[in-house]
Amino acid sequence: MSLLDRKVAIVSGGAQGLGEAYARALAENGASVLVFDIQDAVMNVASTLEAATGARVLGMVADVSKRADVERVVSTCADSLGGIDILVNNAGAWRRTPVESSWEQAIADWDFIMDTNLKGLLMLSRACVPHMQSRGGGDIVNVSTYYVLPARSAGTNGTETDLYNASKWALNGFTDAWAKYLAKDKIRVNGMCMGATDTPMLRGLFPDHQLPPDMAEIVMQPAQIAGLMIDLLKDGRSGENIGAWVGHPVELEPRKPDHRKITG
Amino acid sequence: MVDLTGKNAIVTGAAVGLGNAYALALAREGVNVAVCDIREEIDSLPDTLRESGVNAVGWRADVSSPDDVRRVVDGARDAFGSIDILVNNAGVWGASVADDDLDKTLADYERIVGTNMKGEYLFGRAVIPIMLAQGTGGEIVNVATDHMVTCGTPNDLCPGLPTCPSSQPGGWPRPRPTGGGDAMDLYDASKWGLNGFLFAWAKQLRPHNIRVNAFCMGATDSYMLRSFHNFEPSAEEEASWMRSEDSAKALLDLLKEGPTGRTGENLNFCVGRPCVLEPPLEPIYILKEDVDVVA
Repeated sequence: MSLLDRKVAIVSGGAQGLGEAYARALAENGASVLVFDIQDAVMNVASTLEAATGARVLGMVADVSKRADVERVVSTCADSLGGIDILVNNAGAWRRTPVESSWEQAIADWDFIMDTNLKGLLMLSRACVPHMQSRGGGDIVNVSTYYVLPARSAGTNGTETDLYNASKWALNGFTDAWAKYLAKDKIRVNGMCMGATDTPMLRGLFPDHQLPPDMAEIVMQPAQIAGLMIDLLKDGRSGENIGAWVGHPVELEPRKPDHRKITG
Repeated sequence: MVDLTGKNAIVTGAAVGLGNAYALALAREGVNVAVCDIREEIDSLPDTLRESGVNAVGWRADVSSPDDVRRVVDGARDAFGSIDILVNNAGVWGASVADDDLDKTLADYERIVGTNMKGEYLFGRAVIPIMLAQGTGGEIVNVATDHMVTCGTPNDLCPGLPTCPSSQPGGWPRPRPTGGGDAMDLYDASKWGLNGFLFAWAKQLRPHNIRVNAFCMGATDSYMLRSFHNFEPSAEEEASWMRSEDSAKALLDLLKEGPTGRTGENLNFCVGRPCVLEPPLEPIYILKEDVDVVA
């Protein structure tokens, strides 16, 4: 029996990459999983995972930036899987948003990035919290980036992605405040802050979706990051940003003192 | 030290509090100032600023509205001919917690994230192309909070500072953790988010002599803080606060560093030590070479 047996998890943005890996790791550890995405491929992911793991895995096509979709996901999970214990806020939008863009583009870019990465994550979390409170505890994992931790290498906080960077920095406020406020309900809240991981999002940055050889050699794998998340859930800490850096071991570091939980 | 006389600035949220102090200090330094606010007190501010012998213009504007931002930025450029300084000060506060319902949450999001984060984004994105086209450098200062730059960012930030209150007998237990407690999730998120703009812009704009820095203000005597205390702060609380005028003096000192000065820095002003411009700090979240002065 695994620690996550009889737990119910929601994973947003689970059609591919890290979201798929999180859903797989949760199912392999005995949790029932609702996985959703705006991409239809999430339905195949769900049936494949269910067959492979024997856990209940429910797929839904839904957009985290739409309130009605968020409410539909949460009520479906509660009705069909019996509640909500774990929320993995993985869905994320990414695009280059250079400062030279036109005014109209700058306005559209705000909505494109923030509606999913910030507002969508906020809505989904707010909708899940009462379910966790009624079950006497839970876990929220906010998927962020290593940009929000002290720089270990060049390339962090890239100049062409100001809005993406900002959307992830803002999550610090949620992780910090939610962990404090929800401690009374035994709901833990943490951030996952990783560097380059071999996902379709990363591959999409390169010609023919091929990673450059030097990057392919060192890049982290989604299964490693998902394993780190499982270790985090089993560890039971809260209010901490968990780092994973290319070129460093992917492992859960010792708990940090209060003043370094968020800032690394 | 750079002479600020004759420069042209925009200060958002200038009707009261810190923004008001920033605008007044800039005008007394000979800077022409364009101001905006949603509050009606903004109407009389340009006349007050002109008493310092500078040009001044003002608008009622909501910084979360792209049309309003465009109106202010284009209006300032038309009035002064150029924009050299942007002080992104407008901000709002409100309590919000993790189990608020969705209706309240979405209203809070529009107001708090819209003003504090989208407002600074829009003003930056409106002003940066103008500064780049001018080719004469520029200054952007975002106003944030000490919630994100506490003693623990990332280690003990203040040991080098003899004035740090934590190093005094009976001072704060150190180091103080991040955050504004458990009931400011949206406020804290909106301010943390500013780091995304701070670092990306500072790195990219350094070669153009445009600096980007942020003031992370601890408790300062201002409209926002007084409203937080229902306008009835205790004498003790009031005595502990920093003064807006001191923050404005620090702003002038930062601007006077000029294009070779620091950039990409969160300047931490915390209660209990002098509210003055401290020497530059080593970057934490970006590498030093990213913002080193271009030869």
